[in-house]
Amino acid sequence: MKMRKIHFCLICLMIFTSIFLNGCVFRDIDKRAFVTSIAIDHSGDEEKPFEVTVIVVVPSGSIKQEGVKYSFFSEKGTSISEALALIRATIDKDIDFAHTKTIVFSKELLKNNLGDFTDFFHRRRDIQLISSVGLTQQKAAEVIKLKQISQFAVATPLYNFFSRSAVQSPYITPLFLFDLRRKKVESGIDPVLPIIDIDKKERKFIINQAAVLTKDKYVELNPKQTMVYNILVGNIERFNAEIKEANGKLKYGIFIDSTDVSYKIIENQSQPVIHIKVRHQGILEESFMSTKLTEMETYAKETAKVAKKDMVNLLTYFQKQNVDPIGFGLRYKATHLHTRNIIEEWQKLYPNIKFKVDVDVNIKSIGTME
Amino acid sequence: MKRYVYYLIITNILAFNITEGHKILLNQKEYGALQGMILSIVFGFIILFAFVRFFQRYPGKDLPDLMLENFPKLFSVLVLLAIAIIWFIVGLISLVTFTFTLKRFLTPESSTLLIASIFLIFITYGIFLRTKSVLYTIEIVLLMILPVDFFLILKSITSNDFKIDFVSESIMHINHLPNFTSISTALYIYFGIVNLLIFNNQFQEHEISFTWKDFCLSVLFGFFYLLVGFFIPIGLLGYDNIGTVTNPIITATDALRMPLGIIERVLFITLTEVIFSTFICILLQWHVVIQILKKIFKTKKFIWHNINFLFVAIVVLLWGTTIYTINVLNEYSLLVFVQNFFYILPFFLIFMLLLFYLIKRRQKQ
Repeated sequence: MKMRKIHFCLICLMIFTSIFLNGCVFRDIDKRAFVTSIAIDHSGDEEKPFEVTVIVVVPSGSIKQEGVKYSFFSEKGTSISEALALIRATIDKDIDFAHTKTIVFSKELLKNNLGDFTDFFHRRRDIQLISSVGLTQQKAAEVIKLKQISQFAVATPLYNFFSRSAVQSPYITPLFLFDLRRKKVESGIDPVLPIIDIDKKERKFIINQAAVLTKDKYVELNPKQTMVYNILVGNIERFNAEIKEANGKLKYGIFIDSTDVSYKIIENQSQPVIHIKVRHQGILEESFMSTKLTEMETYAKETAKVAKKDMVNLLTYFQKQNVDPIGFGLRYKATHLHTRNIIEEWQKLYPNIKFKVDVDVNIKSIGTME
Repeated sequence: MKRYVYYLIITNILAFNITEGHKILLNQKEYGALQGMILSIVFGFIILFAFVRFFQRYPGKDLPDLMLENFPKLFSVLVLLAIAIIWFIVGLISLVTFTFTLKRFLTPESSTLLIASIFLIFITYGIFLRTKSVLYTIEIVLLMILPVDFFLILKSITSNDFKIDFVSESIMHINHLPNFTSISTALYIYFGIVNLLIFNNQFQEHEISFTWKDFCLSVLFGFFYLLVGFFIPIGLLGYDNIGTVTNPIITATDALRMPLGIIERVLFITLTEVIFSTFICILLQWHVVIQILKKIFKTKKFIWHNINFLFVAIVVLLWGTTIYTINVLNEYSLLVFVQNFFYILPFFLIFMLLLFYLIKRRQKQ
């Protein structure tokens, strides 16, 4: 009798628990549209300035037979959320941002002074804070629509450039959503966004520039400046450097495989100085002249001189433009006890500061031949 | 058996960084949160020392026993009821915060009522377990989540995106004198030992011989977690930005990546851990409430046809209050409520110390 009661209770419990078996939070996977990238453009319309485009991966039964299909949806709206709400009405599935990996803004948006349009992405809980952000000079929708020649079946094309686990290039400046936010809000450091361009004919991306974003303007960096910036902030440790002769002819190329950067703000003199120490270690990779093992130190010194010049150039460029992407202001705040308005003090100090760069290059080998 | 006392302390420490506790401290970052945290070491030590030393004196006895022995019944019942209510609210805060967190990050489309109910079913089952079984449950769950927790801490500190400059910027605000909010909030992390007022009846003689080493270790562990809850969100999300984040620790783990892990988004590992640690935390606190109520109402008047209507009433009360609070509160009012509730804690502590002194004197007579 007692056993029967227990059995009855157990069966009831089993039926009861099945209530909670709902699968994908009450909506099955075939009823969801997974967005992999979002592009925000300026529509040119004053009333509805945002043109939002999303890529949706269409799920298929077998990838081998049907391949992967993408579909694109685009709408205009007074805000990003309004445009997305309109897109929602055009898809027969529920939009899911959990797999969104890249967000691309067009530069037109910055020119038109539209306020903080990235707010939506930080505020929504299902957009990953580790999705990467980029700017483009072309139409953002076309950037995310581009299907690369080298693209594999199921992949978010742009993400591999920024995930740090695939492409390693000194020209690419990865910026994640959380990083953008913290640098934007913080005084004393400015975010640097990669500029993504496309070559439609050759079906490829060109990502070798960047832009520093401040509250009221943006400053573009050319490829060389982008590379030096990435080295200075430690985004990349491995890169190539070319040493040229005075007439512009290549002498030799160095491959640096480890980099160490540290800096200090020294102000106990009449002239405040930022002292940056850079240590490179690498090997000789290519040479147009005969190289000697005994000459390795000369090569290193020569390289250091070139590197030093590039770095000082970039730093003074930042100073002249009054932007601070490396975060000297943050370092200043981080080393001074908060007894007064530190950041104001720094803003007065920054235009007059001098940069002293020490580059130490250590060439370990000249390769497999002399 | 000493390790069970540690579990009581650790459970509360884990819960601190999940509930609004660390958020309140982060809001006070420019009003002396750091000094408050450092001061809390002293207070934490006092709490631990007072509770452990007092209950070591009366092995196998809990506070309701001691009170009913030494004081008039009405007084004891009133005081015990007050303690039970305070401890019920502590658990309630964890549950409400947990429901809101889960609603935002894991299941945005299910109603808060459903989330809370599912959780309440397990909690209700858990709190009516025997006290010993509760301790065993906590041990098993802690063994599962502590390694994950250490992994998460290590992962955040060693992350490339963990910027030391933000952390040292926040340390530069150490010169601000602490206000009452930061002290009372930081104090809460050491309140796990209060659970001993019931769990002491499981520890027989010589079983909880806490030495100086144990006191220091547990206080330092609490302090370490205070720092974790304060500095990891700042290091990952930025000093100025942290004021704009509603769930600092959980949002901070969303900034971490495991490119070669099973899941790239660390957030989901944190959420799993949050579920477990909230569960054991509420389990402990509400078990204490139930046990106190059981001790107060010892009569068998409520039993009818083998059903104890006292328990039924308690369960109805638990469910009713929880569901009501979840419906009434929003995120901001929860924060204000928790902050105001933490103001009570220092007075609660002083009251407890006074109570211990009185009991000790009466026992001597």
